Amino acid sequence: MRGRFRFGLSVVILTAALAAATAGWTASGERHASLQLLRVSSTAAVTTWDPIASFSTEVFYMANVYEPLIWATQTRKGKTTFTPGLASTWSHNGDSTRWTFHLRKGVTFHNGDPVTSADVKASIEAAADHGGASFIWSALKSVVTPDASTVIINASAPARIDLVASSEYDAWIVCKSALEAAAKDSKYWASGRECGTGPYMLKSYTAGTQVVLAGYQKYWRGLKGHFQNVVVQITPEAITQQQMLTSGQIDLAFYPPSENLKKLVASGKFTKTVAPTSETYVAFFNTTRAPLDNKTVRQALSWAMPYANIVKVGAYGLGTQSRGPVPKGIFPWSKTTPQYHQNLAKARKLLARAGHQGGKFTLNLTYAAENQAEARFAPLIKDAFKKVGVKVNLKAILFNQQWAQAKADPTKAQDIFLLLYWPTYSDAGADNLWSLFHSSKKPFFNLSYWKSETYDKLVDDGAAITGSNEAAAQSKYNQAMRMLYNEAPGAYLFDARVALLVPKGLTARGVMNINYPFVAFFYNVKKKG
Amino acid sequence: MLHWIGRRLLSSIVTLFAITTITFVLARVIPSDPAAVYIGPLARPAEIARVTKQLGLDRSVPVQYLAYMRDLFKGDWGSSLATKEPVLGGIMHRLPATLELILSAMTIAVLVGVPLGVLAARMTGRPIDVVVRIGSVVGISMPIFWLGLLMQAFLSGKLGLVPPTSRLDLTTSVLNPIPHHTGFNLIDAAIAGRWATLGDAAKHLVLPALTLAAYPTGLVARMTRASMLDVLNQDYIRTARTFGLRERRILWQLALRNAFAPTLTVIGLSFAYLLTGTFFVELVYDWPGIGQFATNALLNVDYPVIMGITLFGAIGFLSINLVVDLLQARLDPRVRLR
Amino acid sequence: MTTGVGVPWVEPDAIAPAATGMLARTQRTLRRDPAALFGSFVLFVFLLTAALAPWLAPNAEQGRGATDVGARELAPSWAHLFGTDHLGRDMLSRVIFGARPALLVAVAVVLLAVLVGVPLGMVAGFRGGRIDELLMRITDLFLSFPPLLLAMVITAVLGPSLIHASLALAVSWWPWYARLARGVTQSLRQAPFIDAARVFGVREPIILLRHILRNATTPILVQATVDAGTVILAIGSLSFLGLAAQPPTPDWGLMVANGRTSVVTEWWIATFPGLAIFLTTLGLNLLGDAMRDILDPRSAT
Repeated sequence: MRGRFRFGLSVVILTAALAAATAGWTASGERHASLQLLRVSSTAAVTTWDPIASFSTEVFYMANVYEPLIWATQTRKGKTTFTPGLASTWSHNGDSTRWTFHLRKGVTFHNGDPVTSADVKASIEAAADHGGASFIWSALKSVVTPDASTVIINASAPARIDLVASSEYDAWIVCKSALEAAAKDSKYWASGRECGTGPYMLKSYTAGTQVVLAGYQKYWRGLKGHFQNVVVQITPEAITQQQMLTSGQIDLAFYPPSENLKKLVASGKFTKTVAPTSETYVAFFNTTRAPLDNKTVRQALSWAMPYANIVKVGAYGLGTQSRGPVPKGIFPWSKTTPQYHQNLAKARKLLARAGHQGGKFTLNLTYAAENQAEARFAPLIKDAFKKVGVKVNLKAILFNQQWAQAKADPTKAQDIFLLLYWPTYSDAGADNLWSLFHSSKKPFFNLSYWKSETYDKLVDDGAAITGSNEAAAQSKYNQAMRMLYNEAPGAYLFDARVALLVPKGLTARGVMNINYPFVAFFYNVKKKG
Repeated sequence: MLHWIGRRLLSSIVTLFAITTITFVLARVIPSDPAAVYIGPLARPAEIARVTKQLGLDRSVPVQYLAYMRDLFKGDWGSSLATKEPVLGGIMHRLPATLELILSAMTIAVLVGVPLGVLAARMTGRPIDVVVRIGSVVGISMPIFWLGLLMQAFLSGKLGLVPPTSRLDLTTSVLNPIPHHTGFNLIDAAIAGRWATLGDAAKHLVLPALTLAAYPTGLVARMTRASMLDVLNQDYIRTARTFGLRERRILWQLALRNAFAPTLTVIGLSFAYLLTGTFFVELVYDWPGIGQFATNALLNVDYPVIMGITLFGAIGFLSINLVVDLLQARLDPRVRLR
Repeated sequence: MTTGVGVPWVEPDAIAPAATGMLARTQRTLRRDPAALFGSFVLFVFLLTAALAPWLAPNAEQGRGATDVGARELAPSWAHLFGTDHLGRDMLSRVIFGARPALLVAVAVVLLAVLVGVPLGMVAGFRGGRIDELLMRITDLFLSFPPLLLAMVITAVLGPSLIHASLALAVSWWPWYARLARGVTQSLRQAPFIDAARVFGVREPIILLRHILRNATTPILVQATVDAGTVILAIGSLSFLGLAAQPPTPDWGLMVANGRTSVVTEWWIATFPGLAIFLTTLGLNLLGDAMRDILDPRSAT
């Protein structure tokens, strides 16, 4: 999925200042015995409080208020595994068409109602029917509830329902009563309501400004030792967040500018850890017209691309060069997929072979004006291509307009399109391969307009057998990704990574999870020891 | 007088109607897809089609225009595409923050600008006059976004004198909010008798207000000086002097009262300027007011909000002009309302 | 007169078209008034910089946008007087090249506004009656938007770019010129020499062009000087919001926006381009003031 965040690169910073907050509190002479407030700043806007329709940045809050049947996590080796959520155990039949989930006992929604199989059934059916990401449930045949704590999901074909049930969107379990009320009243969620089971309840929402979460005292994993209240200040400007952080106005900031990362680390107040994300940057070459309809030219430009500098400047040194359009750590990423490296001599040679001795052509490159990372590294591409004789005109426009123009008429569209993309749910990479390069009647996210029946078949076949035979699917995908390397319909720039600055005295293990982009799990922010 | 007000109101309504039409037409030539803005970054084609219908964007433009005007009269200014909040409600709940900022800036401008202008007029040609004259041009030539940035970086970032952003300490505003009366933090905190909070609010306010005050201070000082010079050259002042009235009294009572009418016009105009000036200040200082609402909408092509802000700005602008004209008629007997 | 972002200063008719002794007064003013001298100096430097940017800039390529990742974020030194930005570009060269779009936009906006506003204003002022009434209503309409707001809305809707922003500014600026030209025309309409021309059967367009325009030129020029500074300030503001120039245009407002993220540590990236906007606007405003004093002896001090 494509983000319109102003700051593509995600960096989370935690600072101490809890003590300071408490001190300020006491100073105003109004004391509260159990005060524990986590002060957060984030760019995440709320486009809806409807957990079914939600398909955007509000997942930042949803993931703290709702829970899915199971959670996806990453092992150290980069494989996806699953941990229990509302389902304590689960299993599937041999061909992955029938999945059985056993619900945890004694869990209640924030309105006090116990969680039953009827709630799960209602949630899944609502998501499949009118969810923002309803397509993830496309394999759903039926949901059967033999008893109050058992849910059976039948699929129409072999499917990785575990990946679907742990998705970032449309996998939240919502109480049935709220879903029924929402079905009758289209404005039900508008005022900022929720009915989840997560560690935090939505206490108040000031549109566009502030979200206040209060701990759910009956949370099934307990709330002792965790923050009792969370306030999130919605701040579109990353610089503002950094200022709030350094002046001690907040404890945790989402996406401050990472150029200041080194200085913040050098201040000695934090320890830094770096984690991968599922965001990746791709530069699409318009394959519908000369000169980029020529494979050799595209390869030449792929060799001319300044990958190392793009990572250094665009990602503040925090990214890694991509291997194809699937980010590392996400299926079916493979270390066997070859990479280009900047080699200007090779680029010149290939250009000459393609009949463009010395370059001598001009390309128009568009990027999203609101994406600061792109704004920073786009000039580097211009400079690098200039060295092989190719002139690049940079054009920054708002993503919506950029995308609308790119979709309208490929033969009149840009030559190069910079895109930040991240997958929708855990099976992910398949989505990247499909959405970004599978041919389609009308362009959607395939903005290279590249069409290859061989590639389409590899990706379709891979998707069809992922549920039953992952290794065979991987091999299909490997072939597809090698094709993307050879045909070069795009240049695969870098996978973004996240920096987590943890103040001494706090731990933040599990606050970030690559399977849930743009989410911070506040429950996992704890005091050390 | 009443007749005059009636006519002014009527012509204002016609103007507003025209403005609304212009902004609607402008908004409908947007080359981006409002439905895509509505759904957010993860839009799928089927979803876009559904929302296009839901928002009524599949209807013809004249039909959409009529529907918009009808809703406008009913007090429904539409909803933000990005945050889904009602536009009028969004403006109203951000209004106190912006008004607090603008009024503080205006207060500074008058308290500093008027005395400086009077002083300069009294001391024509002397160093203080030169300083005031150049200072007032400095004020009106200042890029406030830059001034704000530098003050924030230096006074807050480097010296840590005041908080760099927002209106109140978060811990206070979340766990122990001030009771809401006026929406002005300074006044509400005073009503509640919470002096620590009042101090906190004032600390947050000082930099944004000073930044925003640069332009109107320059303007007010300049206009006061000019009109004071005019007045001081008139016969009755000379007469007063020959009658031995004390200079201080002549200056601050007699002359200033008569020189104040043009200054008032400038104050009104400064207000209008501050309506957009506050956009920049709110951006730099993360002040949760109308300006932030507007800049976000402008950058996201959130057209219902853009239209709402434009209409609201025009209403504000016209009312300020109306009030200024009325006050002027009150102050200056030579002005007659026709 | 307009200042700031379209706030009237003095009514148009306050500027009496005067010719006698102007040269002498100019000399006297420049000698006596350091502010006017400073204004002229700024205008001179600004024009010179814009014209000679490729020769003045220490690194012309970087001024145009070429990057040098190895030399990122260097503090001011003898090698880089204004330091370098996030992409390693010499800030002095960037600021020098920034004079070009600033000058271009200022001239384009003012010229467009004059070309649209002045003829309309003259016709309205000369003919009076319904045409005048209509024009006044239209200008009223444009002037009832808070300053800059109309320009912001137009740019946002058309899509952020320098050209769109210039167009948008011109759209919100022409009414001021229309009013100015109308005022001058009205005051001259009944003047004896115009009556004489009429009696001699000179056709109306000729009267407008030959007699009235000539007399209107000076106040329009003063107005244009002040406005040029104001346009530079306005376009910088729009760029800062992200509504006007887009990278890699060497635009001052855009440079301030780029430097914003690190203004506490790399202060030079935002400071120098902002200073350029401020000084240019200040200079043009001071010059406009001085010109007004020269033209209108009554307001001279």
